[in-house]
Amino acid sequence: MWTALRAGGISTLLLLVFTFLDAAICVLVPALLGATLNAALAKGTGSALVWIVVGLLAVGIVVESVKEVVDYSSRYRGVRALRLSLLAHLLRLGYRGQRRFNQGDLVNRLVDSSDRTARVANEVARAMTALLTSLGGLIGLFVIDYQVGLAFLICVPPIILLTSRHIGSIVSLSGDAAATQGDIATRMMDSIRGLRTIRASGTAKLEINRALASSGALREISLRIWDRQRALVWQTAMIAPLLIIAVDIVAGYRMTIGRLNTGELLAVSSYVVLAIGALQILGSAKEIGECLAASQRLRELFDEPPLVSGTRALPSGGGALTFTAVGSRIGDRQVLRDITFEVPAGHTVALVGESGVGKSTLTAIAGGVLTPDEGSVTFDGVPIGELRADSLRRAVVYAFERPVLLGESIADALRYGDETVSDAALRTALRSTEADGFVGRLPDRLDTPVDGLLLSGGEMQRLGLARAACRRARVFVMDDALSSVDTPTEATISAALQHVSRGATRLLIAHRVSTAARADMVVWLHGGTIGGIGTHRELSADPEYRAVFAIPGDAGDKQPAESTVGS
Amino acid sequence: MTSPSLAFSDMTSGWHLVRATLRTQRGQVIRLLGWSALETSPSLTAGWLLGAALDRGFLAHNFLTGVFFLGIFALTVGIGSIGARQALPALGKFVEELRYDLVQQVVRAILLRGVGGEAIGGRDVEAATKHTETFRLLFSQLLLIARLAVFSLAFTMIGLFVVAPVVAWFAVAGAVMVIIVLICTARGWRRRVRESLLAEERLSEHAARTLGGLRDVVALGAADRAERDLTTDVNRHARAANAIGRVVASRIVLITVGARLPITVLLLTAPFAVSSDVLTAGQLLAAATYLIGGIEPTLRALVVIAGDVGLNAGVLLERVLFYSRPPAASERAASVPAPRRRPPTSLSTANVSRSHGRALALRGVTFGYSATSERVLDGVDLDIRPGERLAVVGPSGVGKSTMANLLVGLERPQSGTVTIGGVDASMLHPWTLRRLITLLPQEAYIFAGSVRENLAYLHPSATDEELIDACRAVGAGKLLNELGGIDATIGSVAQLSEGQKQIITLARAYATPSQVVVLDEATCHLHPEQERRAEDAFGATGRTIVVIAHRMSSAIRADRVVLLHGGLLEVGTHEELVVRSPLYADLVGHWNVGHWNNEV
Repeated sequence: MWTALRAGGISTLLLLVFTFLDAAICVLVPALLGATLNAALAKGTGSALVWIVVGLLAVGIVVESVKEVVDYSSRYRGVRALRLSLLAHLLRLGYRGQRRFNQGDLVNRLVDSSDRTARVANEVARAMTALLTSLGGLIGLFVIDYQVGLAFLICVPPIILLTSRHIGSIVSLSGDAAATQGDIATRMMDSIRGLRTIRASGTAKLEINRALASSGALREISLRIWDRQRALVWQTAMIAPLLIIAVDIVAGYRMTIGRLNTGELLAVSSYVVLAIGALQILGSAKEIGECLAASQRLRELFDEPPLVSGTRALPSGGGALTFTAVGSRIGDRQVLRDITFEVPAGHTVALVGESGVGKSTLTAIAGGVLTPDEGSVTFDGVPIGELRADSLRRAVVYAFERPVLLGESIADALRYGDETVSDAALRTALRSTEADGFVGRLPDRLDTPVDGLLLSGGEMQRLGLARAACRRARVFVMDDALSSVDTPTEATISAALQHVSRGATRLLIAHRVSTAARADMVVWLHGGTIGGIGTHRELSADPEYRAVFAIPGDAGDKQPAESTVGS
Repeated sequence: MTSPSLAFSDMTSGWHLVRATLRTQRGQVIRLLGWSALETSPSLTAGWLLGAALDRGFLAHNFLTGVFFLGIFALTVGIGSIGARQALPALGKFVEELRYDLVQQVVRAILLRGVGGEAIGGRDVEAATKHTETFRLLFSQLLLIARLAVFSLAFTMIGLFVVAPVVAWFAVAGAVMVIIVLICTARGWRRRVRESLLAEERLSEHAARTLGGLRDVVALGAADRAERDLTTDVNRHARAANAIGRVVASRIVLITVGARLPITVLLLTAPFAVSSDVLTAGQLLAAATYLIGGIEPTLRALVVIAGDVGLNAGVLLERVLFYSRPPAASERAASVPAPRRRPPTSLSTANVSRSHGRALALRGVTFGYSATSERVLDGVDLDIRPGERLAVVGPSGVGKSTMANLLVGLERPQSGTVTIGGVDASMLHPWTLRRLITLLPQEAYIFAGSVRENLAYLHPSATDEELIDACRAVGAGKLLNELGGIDATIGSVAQLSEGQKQIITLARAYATPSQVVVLDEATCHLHPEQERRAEDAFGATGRTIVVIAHRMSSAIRADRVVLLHGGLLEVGTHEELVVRSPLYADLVGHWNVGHWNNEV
């Protein structure tokens, strides 16, 4: 909570100060108004008191408007501070953060949870106003006449009792309404998943009816909530004024016996209204609870450890990698264990294994974007964690099966993260990945905006490759980066890349036999660890290795014919 | 993708949605207004009764008379609460009918857009559920407070006129000033709220893109760059939001001045009014009560309602309206078979006879997702014979699903024709086309409902026997028993595995009378043996089957194989293609096959 309050900085401090001032004026005005009224009734003209009240009212206007300005600036200053620090943290989490939180969740926390959290200052100020003014009102009542004050206190418990009695049943019905609403959302999500089936079978009308089946029930539940609210509303509509009347009667009695004057009666009426305001704190408490829950969601992100950068500069070398007893976990699941092998500088190594075996995890560890949970990796002889993060990022480049192009234009997307890439390097990279053809056909060529670009999977992959190829790196990681390209093209691109990368070390994830066969060495991952290391020809002797490439007549047909459906 | 700026630019006021419900709910609205007037009636006499209690009772040392007047006040409060009691159901009914109408409209529009080929997702569902719920909350608040504020302002004014006409004129002037300020600043305020909302949507969109590519950002060492870009968006939003605060504050000054003008006048003139016997002590108290307890709070309530609540409700309604838009007549939507080009009525199922209906052909078909992107199909020809089992293979992302879409008429070729039974598919009524061809996509569509509903989804008139036979044929008999038979209910789709879902959809397709079935990786979650059984079951019925192959075993079982790459098709049997096409050999793992045969 203090983090959230601190995020608003000076604005939050001002907000609290002005909230206090505003409440003080609210409490002072009735007493002064009463006194002024009395002065007028005493037929004393030109009392200075009038001007004091008018002045206080004027000051009140200024205080209130300043309070409103700082109410906004406290919230948005806080939102800004939280978002910026969260962004800085998220972007340095590396792979781990992306694995644990999905994109929608991250965006939601960055945009919505930060806003909710920052609002805690506003809610605290609101609660403070209610508390201070009602306390002031109560004190006012007692100062004017203790019997009037007592009369008020006696009347309060029934009001609280009444309010809390109704709220319970409304809350449980609201839960039902939320569940019904969830039902509609689920049905819609179902339909969205099945859109292709629905389109192909022309069953849109059926789907709409299914999604809307619960909307009638939702209306009924909501009407029942209104029914409960009805009792609450009409009873409070009656009880609050009756409380004022009751207090007025006591005040009237005190007046009859000369203990209270007209001005004081006016003040009493105002103070009763102020004093009842304390009930609003119930609402504020709920809001503050929600703000704290949101700040907890932010805390979870901040608790994720970011990638740490070392301090050593890159040693000279050609991109040799050694893995020693490397292991990695996702949550409690051990993904990789006891991985030990060496990649000599300038060699091409293919990683082979069934999907989900941890190939991508291993390539992430190789480039230092994921810290291994066990074991160590060296880069040209230096432990990877000791290298400066920015030099390491320059030394290892990645191309992915499904690259995400970030940035404004195509040229910007290719240079993303490294503005030093020359135009010539860009052109060479596009040529060697055979992407120059379709880029040349785009309306603004390299300046075509990335947003709204319609590209096929293969075209996207080639841009992802070009993005990696235009940088000068020692290690080139290809995470299945040519899966959508046919075999002859793949061979051409591979040769061209070999030329461009001028003998850089290459780490490839291979799904195709041809890719594995062309590599200098194959590392076969099997059951979370190394199943074998050697050339493709050597490893091919093992039927389990061949099964990775879904070669018919092997593993597939060995399974029993009668097995239960699905997984 | 539609950018939010477009979303806002073509937005008109969303209140016409409310107006439609208003027309159907006219009775409720009139009842609501009547009861609301009764509910606020105590404010008419509150000040006057308090003044009378003072003048004739407490100040005249006549306690019981004072209590009598306060008793009457209490009576009016009691009567008012009857109004509150009756007004609420009318209000609730109106609000709920409105929400019901909104949900109906927006759900329908969203699903129709999805079917029309637009990308829809979580944000749309959120609009249909969360946005409508928030709007309902805001709108109820709006009605709850606004009607009371309007009536009690009117009643208080009347009361004040009776007690102190001079002060009342100043109160009217103040109220008019407040309303003028409200109207004049509404546009600017609204603009700022919108700007801030837009800035936040832009931030969301950019953040979603960047965080979705977090892996790329990290791997490229581009954290600084990404942070810089997003910081711009964060700052822009903070500035826009702060600007609202300044508008709100300047309004507060004007509004409070308007509300406090009459009380200042009362205070300044009170000594003279009392000394010249224009006002008694009670009347002075009554006037002050009307001003402090009535006019100032109601004016403030009006501002909050018209400003915060009303504005937010309006903007939300605009969002709901945006999501309720009908499918755009875009290039992609045009590719969906819509009955715009009315086909000749004579071309019914009867014309595409049963045997001919099983033959499909592509003639010079060209298709690409945009004018500049590489073509998925580049002027290809293909004849699919009646009763044939054809497998389509190719590298991932090469456009196999697109080819399936073209075959079943979900996409239309940019040039060339797809014919079914010799008839141009685009000339067939969509309904006819759907009876002739069934597509089973990879994502098996199962919904919460009975097993029967799910099985008969594509052929509602199928008998139970037919459905059970279909289950047995494709190998879903065991699953049917496990689920508890055809009458059982599938409560939550999540309780089924992907494989179970696929096998149910296979039975569903088997139960249809359509003679062509396109399986687009529809068996990818099944065991290879189950896959074989299902494919064979379809084959045994003599139907034409096109299998977009997930496993190469499907290709080996097929009569012929189509290899799709570079926009062109290579057609042949498995044995022919292994020899002829290096890509095919690579895909089926026969690359270097010679070496293996020697060694193993």
